[in-house]
Amino acid sequence: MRKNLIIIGSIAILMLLLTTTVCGFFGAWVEEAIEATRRYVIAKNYENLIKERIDIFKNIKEIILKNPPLHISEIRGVMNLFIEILQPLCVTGIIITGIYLIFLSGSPTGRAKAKNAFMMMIFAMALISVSPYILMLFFSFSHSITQNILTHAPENSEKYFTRTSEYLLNMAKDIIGSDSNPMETPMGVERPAMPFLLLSYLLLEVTILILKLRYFIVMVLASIFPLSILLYSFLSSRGIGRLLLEQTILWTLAQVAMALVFITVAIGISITDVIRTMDISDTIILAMEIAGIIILMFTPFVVARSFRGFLP
Amino acid sequence: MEKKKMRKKLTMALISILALNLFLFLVSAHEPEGWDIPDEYLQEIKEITEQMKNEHPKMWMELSRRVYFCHQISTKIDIIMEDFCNNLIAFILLDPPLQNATVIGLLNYFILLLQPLYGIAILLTGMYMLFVVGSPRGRARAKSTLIKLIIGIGLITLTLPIIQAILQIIHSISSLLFSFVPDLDTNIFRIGITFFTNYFLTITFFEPMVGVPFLFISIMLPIAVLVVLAVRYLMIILFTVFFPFTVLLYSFYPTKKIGGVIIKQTFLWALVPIVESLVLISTWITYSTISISPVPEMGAFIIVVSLLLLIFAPLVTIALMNWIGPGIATLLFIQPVRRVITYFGRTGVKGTNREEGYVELKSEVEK
Repeated sequence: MRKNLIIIGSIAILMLLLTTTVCGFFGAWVEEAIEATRRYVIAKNYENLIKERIDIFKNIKEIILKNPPLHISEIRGVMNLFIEILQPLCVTGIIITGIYLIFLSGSPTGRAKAKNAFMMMIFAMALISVSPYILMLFFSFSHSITQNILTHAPENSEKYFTRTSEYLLNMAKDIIGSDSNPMETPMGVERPAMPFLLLSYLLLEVTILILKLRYFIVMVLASIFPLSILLYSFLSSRGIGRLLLEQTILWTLAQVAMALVFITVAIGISITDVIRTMDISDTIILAMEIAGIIILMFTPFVVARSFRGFLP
Repeated sequence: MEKKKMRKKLTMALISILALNLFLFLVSAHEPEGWDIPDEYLQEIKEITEQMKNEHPKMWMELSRRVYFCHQISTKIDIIMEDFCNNLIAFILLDPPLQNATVIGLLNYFILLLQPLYGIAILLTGMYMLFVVGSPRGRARAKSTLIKLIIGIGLITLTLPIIQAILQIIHSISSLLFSFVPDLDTNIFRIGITFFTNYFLTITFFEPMVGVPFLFISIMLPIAVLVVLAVRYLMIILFTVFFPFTVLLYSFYPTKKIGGVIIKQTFLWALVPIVESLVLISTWITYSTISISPVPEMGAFIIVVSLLLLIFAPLVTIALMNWIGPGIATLLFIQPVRRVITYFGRTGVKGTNREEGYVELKSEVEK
């Protein structure tokens, strides 16, 4: 009995002494659990965001194939507005040049120039009137080539572009410690995982944004296509006209280039996947996937920059 | 016996911790009689005990978390470095399997797509030559374009052998370069990365976020080298598939400049293994000769610089070696065309002005 009392007494004294420390540990554990839950929620939100982008990326072929619909009233309205403004201008130009040619006998060089401008203006007038149809034809040409190229892509080729983001997301989740129940895995740091989460998100988002950017640039250039033709037909404004026309052609054909890059990367990685039995490791496949998405990202800009200067 | 000793040790440790706690808490709560502790020290003891009460458990949690984080990340860096060191030379020498059925299928599709374009280009040039009476210079230009287009048709069917021959030559040169240093050990790259990883691990114990740049350098340096090599690998496939278009663009006068740029890029990207092998060999030579350096970190610095060179050397080379593309293009196109024109001129084929064509092409070659 006495022995029991001594034990109980000792435990009581020990508990009394430990109270502050125990309270501290309990408080810290609760705080840690709250922190872990917060980290879990942040990681989950990012994960949802990235999964959403991956879902969008699964339709990348459709996004690449998309061209602005020229038949919708808004774009057609802008084009028609330009046509309506430019047609009288062209007619005035043709009349003035005609008067110059008939009544004012200039130098042979001047006459030759005026004749040339006269022809160009008639040609431009005809082209401006049918410019929406020319563009439609060009878009369908570009669309069909792109579609044909994309048919050569291996199955599930989108995964070669999303696996990098998945890898980075998993890495960030490991760092953040949100793989399972937050109460079970309190270990994890939040801030160092943020660059990985951000990178994982940005790789997909920037690529999608560039694809959308191409769409909008094509839309803007298509709207001012009649103006581009007119500017190109005048000798004095040929520089601007050439730039606009070339950019219209190049940004439209950027979809062909993107499709080409898309299947090249997919084929390249899928071939390497097959020959992986030798030395090719996961890190090299990861590097290839990063390289693939970087090439895809820069393709429209490279096309618009490097292929300039083909128009006379 | 062992268990008893262990239990005794644990009990002693627990009693010591409790005694220390008790001492500090008692002193902070009530100054023992006869102890003449100055007020400022007493105040400090009170602050320490207060902090201990609040922060001590948290500190242990935080410390264990950082240890876990460091362990996890260093494991990942180790995996990346192992892959990097084991595969670097193999990846530099790796050429894409262009004989693969998918690549051949795609190439054939492009050749099929190009046939009408070649037809149109030849037709347009022929019409220009027949109906539009241009200047002698224009006629010579059209003539050379026509011959280039006809040669181009033959050339595009030889796309794969041409590209493979180039890759084979470059592969042989790179292998030859590597054979000069048979004891080359790519594991030296671990030294450079360990340099940063150590900084990262040390700093992370104080503040994880401050260590993140070092973490990024540790991961990104090897990955960036592999990405540059991967870009080269994919660009070779891309340019091979695009080669028929390149030939057409180069053959047709208005798009000759673009074709020249693409030909140049094709050859420059194919040349990357030579550059990378040169960088690797020079790194190895420098590293093995500098082992008796007064600065202990010199080896790590050399490795870091080498990694940066491996990333930037191919890009710098592509910018610096602009001359090689047109040079090879000249060898491929201009010289045979000049010979053909000279031959037709000599045999007196109607409509071939040898002198004009020759002067025109000579100026092109000089350009």
